[in-house]
Amino acid sequence: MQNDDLKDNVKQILDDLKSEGDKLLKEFEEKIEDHKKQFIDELSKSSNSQSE
Amino acid sequence: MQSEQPKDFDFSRTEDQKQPEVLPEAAKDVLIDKAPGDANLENERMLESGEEQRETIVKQIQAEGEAVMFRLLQAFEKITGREHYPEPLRRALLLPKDQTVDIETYRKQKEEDFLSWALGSVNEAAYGTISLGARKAIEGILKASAEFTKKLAEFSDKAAKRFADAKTLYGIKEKSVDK
Repeated sequence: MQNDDLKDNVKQILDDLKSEGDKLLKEFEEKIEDHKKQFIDELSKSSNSQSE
Repeated sequence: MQSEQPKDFDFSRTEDQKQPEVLPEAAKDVLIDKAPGDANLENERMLESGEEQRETIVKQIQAEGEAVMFRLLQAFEKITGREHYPEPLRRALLLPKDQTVDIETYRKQKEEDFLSWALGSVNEAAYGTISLGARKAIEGILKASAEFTKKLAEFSDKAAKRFADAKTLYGIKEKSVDK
């Protein structure tokens, strides 16, 4: 096995991890943003019903 | 145990004892593996560096996940206003009424994993006086965060296994299992 092969292998492992991690983070952010909106909407509803 | 040698024994090699021009294949492997500064050592260093980078990448992603939660808490503070900030959450954050959200303060005050702590704080707030719908939103946050942590650990483990496989493939022994 050549040294260059290992170099490529290491790079591939790290690239895959970074790619998976970035995708995971993006999905997480989107989910949190959705739930945040939901939470805020609910707070607004509660606030409106209390003022009525 | 030393065997007795005749006093006039000639220790120099005879012609047929001198270094053979061609080494047996097995002997070659041993000599190549043990030679300092050879490709094997370079491979080992390359894999160790890769392992370190793996840990760095995971820490970065984890930190970005924490930042997402931090921004969420900031948004809660902004929306509810400091005076109306949910009291259970404020209490959990040890946050005086005149103090704004600060991630470093959080970390200093709470010497534990920020994400877990933030989730606990949000959870506590959610089970205070808010509506069922808001509580469900918080539960969604908790679930998303738990999945994020779990999947990140899985990706990290997968990469670690690939490095371990590469070490095996290249005949490099593990130095420690603590990492």
